[in-house]
Amino acid sequence: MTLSLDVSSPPTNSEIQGEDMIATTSNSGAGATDSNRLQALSSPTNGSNSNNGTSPSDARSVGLADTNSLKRYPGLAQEARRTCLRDSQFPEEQVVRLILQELRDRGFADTFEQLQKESGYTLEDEAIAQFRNSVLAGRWTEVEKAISSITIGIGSKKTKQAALFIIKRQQFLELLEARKLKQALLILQNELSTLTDDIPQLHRLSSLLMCPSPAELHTAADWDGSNGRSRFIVLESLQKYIPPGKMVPIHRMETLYSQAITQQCSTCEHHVCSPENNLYIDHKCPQPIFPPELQISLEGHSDEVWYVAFSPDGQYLASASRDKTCIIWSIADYSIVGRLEGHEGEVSYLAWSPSGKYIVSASSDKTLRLWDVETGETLQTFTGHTETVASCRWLGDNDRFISGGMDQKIIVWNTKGYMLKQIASPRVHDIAVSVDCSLLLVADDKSSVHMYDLATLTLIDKLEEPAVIMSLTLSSDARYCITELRNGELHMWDLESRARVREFTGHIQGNYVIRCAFAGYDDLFVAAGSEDGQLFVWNRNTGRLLTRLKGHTKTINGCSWSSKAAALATASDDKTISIWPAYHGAPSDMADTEKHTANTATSSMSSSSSFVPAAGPSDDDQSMSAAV
Amino acid sequence: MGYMHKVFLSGKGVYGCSSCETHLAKRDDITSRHYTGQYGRAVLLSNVVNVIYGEEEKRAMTTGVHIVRDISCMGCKKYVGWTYIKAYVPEQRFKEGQFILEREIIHDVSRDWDY
Ligand SMILES: [Zn+2]
Repeated sequence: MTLSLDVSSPPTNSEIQGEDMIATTSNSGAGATDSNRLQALSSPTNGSNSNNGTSPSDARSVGLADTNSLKRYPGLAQEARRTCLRDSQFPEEQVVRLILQELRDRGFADTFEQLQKESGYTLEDEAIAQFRNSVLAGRWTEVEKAISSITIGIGSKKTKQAALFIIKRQQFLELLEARKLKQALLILQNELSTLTDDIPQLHRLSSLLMCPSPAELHTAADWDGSNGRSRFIVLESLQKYIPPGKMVPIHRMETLYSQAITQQCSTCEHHVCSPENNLYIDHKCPQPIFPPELQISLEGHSDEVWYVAFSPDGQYLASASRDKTCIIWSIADYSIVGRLEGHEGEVSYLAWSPSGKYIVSASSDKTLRLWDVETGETLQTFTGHTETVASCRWLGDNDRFISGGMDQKIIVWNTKGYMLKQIASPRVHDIAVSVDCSLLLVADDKSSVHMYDLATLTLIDKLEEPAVIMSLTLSSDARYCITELRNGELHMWDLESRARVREFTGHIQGNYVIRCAFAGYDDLFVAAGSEDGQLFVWNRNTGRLLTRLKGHTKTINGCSWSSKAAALATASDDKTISIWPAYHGAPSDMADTEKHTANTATSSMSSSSSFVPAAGPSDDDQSMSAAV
Repeated sequence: MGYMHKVFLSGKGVYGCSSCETHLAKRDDITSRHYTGQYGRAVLLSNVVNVIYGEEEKRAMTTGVHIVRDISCMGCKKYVGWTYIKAYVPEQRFKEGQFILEREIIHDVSRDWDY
């Protein structure tokens, strides 16, 4: 809350409520504190002083308001409408009332009053204002009365009942909180039970009678108490039943702004960063995404790198290599923080535990290994597969993971080294598990993806492809799945409709396994390596190729995206790993550029470039080469 | 090169690596049995699986000069034969794209070798 408290003006009202409530409440007196703005706001007569005080220096108020009649100056208003608003498609009343709501919510009391008078529109009539105050003050009898009266405008009997249920539920909880169990019980039995058919809900409410303390009540009911935000939430839910013309929906402008930004993001094809909530300009992610000059190359493996994955917190990167080792890299300084040595065969796959403390790796030596990320030591070696282990995934917690092998076995392990379950399956090329662990996908060595319910291990469905599936990638929300085929095709499936919805083309892929990744904000991109050493990035929804990252000299076998690191990482046959930071936060960068230009304007007037580094060109060269 | 999924051949007449049993070829893909490799008898095949390739090199053979690449078993990395990239003698062109497997280094993993 950002109320500025003016100590010199004392509270005007004895009925002081919590500050949180005040900020969003009343234009009547119910909840005033010692904030100047709110004090003025709470008593309508206060505002008239400033209103009538049209000092000659205040050109705007002279121009806009007829001070005596408190009506608008018609000439100017018409003029304004002609020049500025001729295209406005929205009724003036709505626009003004939204502004009024915003002014009130932000505590601009004087302006609020002024605008009500000047425009002739009021935000809320007396009845609504009273209703609002009654809810926030917890005067439930009054609220109940208001609900049934016509002035509030709640229509049918059914909606009235629904509104009443919300009120009674709050009343019930508040009584419980005050330890008035008997009264609470009466409300539950005599009123709440008549207002709903939702028996489980009533059972849940009655079980709250057992809560021994307010604190436990809060947790059990997921309710923050009469002094918390709960009454405000009640007001918000009641508002759904009141016609919007009577009571402007809560934070209406804010809602519209958010919708605008969401809409802008949904049409931003290169959407890679979270929106900056800048209302001045339409959101558009800057281009190029993953600018090539930001590429960082990591050297440390002595053979081809086959897989790469960011840690869950985005601070580390782990790579798996044909050289039989894994390396853990720090994203902070790109140094090697751990080498995982012990496998006797190539390491083709690895997975971070959800906590980021462990890594499990899969190898052609037919074993899996569990590594302590901090020490780099092997904690367990898992033997049980009789052929190359193709893939492994954690199962939600940090205790269990699942592996699939070419030996027609899927095995569930715990980190102690025990085999919890072994399932006969086709030969496994890849497996994927949804984040909530409800879904298990298995790509066999032919051309099918088997969809299992992971809890019961029952087969839900089979997705058929025209060629052998080399790898599987599941989106974070488990809605989409990408299959990479031996014939070079790359398909996206919608698992909800079980239909193939997209094909991505351009990359080169044959007999070798290339693992792709979802990337960008909200998994909007699909990234896949190619045998020509380029990384292809497509828009998931349009299938359009957005960029090709050139930097490796040989096949890119795997890639990984981290929102937290805001970067892609690639693993290549050229023995290196690359990190490709996404271009991040253009407007602030532009502001920085301007600052630099301003700072150095006097010292480097000769430079014609608009981007002038603060420390001069030579330093800039250095930092560029360090970054590459 | 990259990571490859090991391929498992099915049916009768499957040749595998004699040291690690990784499947290498199907008998049906043999185009000639009259070849000689570094270790004696060898077969020419139109297709093999689970092999990794060495560097290209020019090699003088009894039938003329060829560009070949050695091939080794993906499982144990041992040498198993070679593949023809280019034949300089026109009559030998049919071998381009075909494979030689050394008879001594492979055996029939489906155990019905009738050779
Ligand atoms: Zn072998």
